[in-house]
Amino acid sequence: MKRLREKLIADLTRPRPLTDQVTRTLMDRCELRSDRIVPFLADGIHKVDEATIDTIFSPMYTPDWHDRARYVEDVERVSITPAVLSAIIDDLAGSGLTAEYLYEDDTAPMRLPEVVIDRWVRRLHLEVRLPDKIRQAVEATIPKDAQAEVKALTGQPAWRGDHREGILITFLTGFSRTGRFSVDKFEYLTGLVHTYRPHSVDHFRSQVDALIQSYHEESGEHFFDPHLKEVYGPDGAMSPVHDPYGDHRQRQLSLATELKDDLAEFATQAAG
Amino acid sequence: MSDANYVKITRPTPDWYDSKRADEVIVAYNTGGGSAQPADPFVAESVIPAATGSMRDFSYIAPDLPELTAENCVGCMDCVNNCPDTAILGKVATRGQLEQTLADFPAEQRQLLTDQFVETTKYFKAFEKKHEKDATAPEGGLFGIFIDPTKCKGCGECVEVCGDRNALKMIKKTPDNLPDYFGMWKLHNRLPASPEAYINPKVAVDLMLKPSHSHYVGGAGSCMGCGEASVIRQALAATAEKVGENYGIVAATGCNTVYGSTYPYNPFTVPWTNSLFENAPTDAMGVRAFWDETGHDDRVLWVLGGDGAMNDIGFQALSRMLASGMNIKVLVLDTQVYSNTGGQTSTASFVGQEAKMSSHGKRDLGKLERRKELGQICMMHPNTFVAQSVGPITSHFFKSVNLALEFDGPAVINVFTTCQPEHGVADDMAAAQAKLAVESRAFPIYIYNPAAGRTMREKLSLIGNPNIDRDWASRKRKDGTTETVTFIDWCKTEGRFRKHFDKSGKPTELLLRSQQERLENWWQLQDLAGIRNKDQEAAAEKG
Repeated sequence: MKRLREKLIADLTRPRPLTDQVTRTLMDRCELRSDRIVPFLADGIHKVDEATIDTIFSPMYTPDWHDRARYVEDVERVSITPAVLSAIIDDLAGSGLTAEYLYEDDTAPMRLPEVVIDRWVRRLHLEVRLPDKIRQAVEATIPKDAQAEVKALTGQPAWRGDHREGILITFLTGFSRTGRFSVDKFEYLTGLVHTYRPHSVDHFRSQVDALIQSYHEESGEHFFDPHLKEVYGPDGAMSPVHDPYGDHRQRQLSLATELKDDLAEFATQAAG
Repeated sequence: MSDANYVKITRPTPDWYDSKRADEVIVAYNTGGGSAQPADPFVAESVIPAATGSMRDFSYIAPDLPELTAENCVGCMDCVNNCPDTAILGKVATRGQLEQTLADFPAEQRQLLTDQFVETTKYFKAFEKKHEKDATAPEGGLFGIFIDPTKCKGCGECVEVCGDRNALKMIKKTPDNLPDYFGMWKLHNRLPASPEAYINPKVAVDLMLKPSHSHYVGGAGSCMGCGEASVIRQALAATAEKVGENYGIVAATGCNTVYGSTYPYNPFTVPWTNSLFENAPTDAMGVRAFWDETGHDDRVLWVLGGDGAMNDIGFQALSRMLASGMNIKVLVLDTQVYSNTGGQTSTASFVGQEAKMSSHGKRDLGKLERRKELGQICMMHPNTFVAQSVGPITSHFFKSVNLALEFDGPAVINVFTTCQPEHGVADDMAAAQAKLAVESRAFPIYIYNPAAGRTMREKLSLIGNPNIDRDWASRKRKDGTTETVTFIDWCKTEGRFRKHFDKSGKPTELLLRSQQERLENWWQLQDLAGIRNKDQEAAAEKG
């Protein structure tokens, strides 16, 4: 528990740049001049209500599954009940933790409000322990250097229940047999299971087919006027300079296609 | 499909208003029978029934829909405020209300529906703390975000403004997940309105929790992610908070009137009229005069128009209206281009901007004239409130609208609004580009309130701009190093300036001149507001 505590403190207090989103929200919600941010974090932030603090700092203190993966080992070693979790948060909140933010050419120290600590610690889901059979399946099938990440993903509620655990085992064993595993794909798979809540592998296969079909149905001709296409089309003068979401969608389609192929390959191998 | 979405209008209607006929028209258009409709009193009067946009179904359009990860949501309402289509709404419900409503849903749906709610600090923990001290205070409320699949066009603006909170992500719409969205929307509609106790009237961003403040109901034919529509929604919500439905709108022809009045879909619940491109302020003066003479001087009157209508062809009408001292509020949707007619230059366009009639070619490199600063010109009119703002800097925007409404006289709010096709930016970038326009000094924000003092510096506030006493703003990169944000940096992110950069990213001389022009505009504002510029003082000391 001591090691876990130290790890949490290190995460919460490590110096980090004040992100654009946090700076903008801070200036907007607190009607603050940018040159007053450093003294405000030191002396003024504690006069702000908890809900506003949560709104301002949540972009920097909402852990994702990569963060959770760094705690997988700790969670396996100690049992953390909801009561223990609350006690950890109380303890940290009472410890006077101070974080340092890099802002412009300055360093801004801020005593961490309880609401910030609560958000970070609670959303790490330290109380979640994988069922033994899932943990063992991950350890038996996934390369060692990716096990923490896969355990963090399989700890998500989307994978709970007999049906989903059955689907999970199918993928874990299939990936192991075919060597087609990647962390990116497993993350995407987890997202699909969360969205579609399949009740069997066959059900999931049909959902992936429908997903791929939906991508293909929208990829038709969008321009019927050649001049408009020249100006606004993919390489036109007025095409977006930067379209990360467009790139992201292409990657999603590619991952969906890979999953479809994986399922076919699993079936072939099982038959052989 | 979802429960009926049609927003009920309670205000009295004219004698000739035929509700049955209004329903027939909407049903005909929704089912592809629009062109076969006979003439009727609506057509004869050039009237579109109010709020019919709420019955328009765009569910066949959106390629993607936002998906909520409720536990990451803080209830900030950024997604709700920045949605141009009234397609994403927040709801607070007590546990009892939720359980009671869920009882009417099939058991297999209930987990999904329950998962849309979260115990936020804002609506749950803060209220639980009060309730522990005082048992009569309301218990914590559950907060949820809901997507109207008939209104969402899939622009992804909500995901962009949610940012690193990661409470929203876009997913592909498929036949498997669309029914879930209709189920969740049905829950939203069946739950009672968010209880008043949870809505803090001092928190402007929360106004959109009130259905009574949604005077722009969506269903408009605006482009995906349109920066104008979300600004209109926010302005009307703020107006509703002040005067309820006791106001009207005069709109100048432009994009806003095209997507705002595509027969038979009307996104407005309040009276709205459109005359011509150039005469909305004049039209409004007539309405104002009539209202004042007939005992309706308490009514608020808004004029909506783009930069073409207000800076160019309708500038004289605007100037005359301001000089009249009449109590009329003007919201200028400044896209710096004639978006509706295909992207021609306006006097609000920036130097070097690529636009039709100012094409970038061998001889000319885009627009050569300087940008006309409407706000500064309006400030010089007698006793006129002026604000320049952007929608996604929500406190500044709502403050601007509130002060304009409180001001006893004419007011102008000039708002930067992203136009995706003519700016050359992605569909989800309206808020991001507007904020960057502020940070890069392309479009500084300010409030000029004649009621705030006697001197210019007392009246003009530049609060809201970063590094208010410097030439350029600076920010930290994720690696901890510092970068300066210049006008050129913003230009690099917009297709309308693409031709000004060579392969190595070096800008043309004209764009550098444009940058200097923006800097001089910023210096002028600093000077007027009484802000000492450290960079200029340091340069002067060096000689």
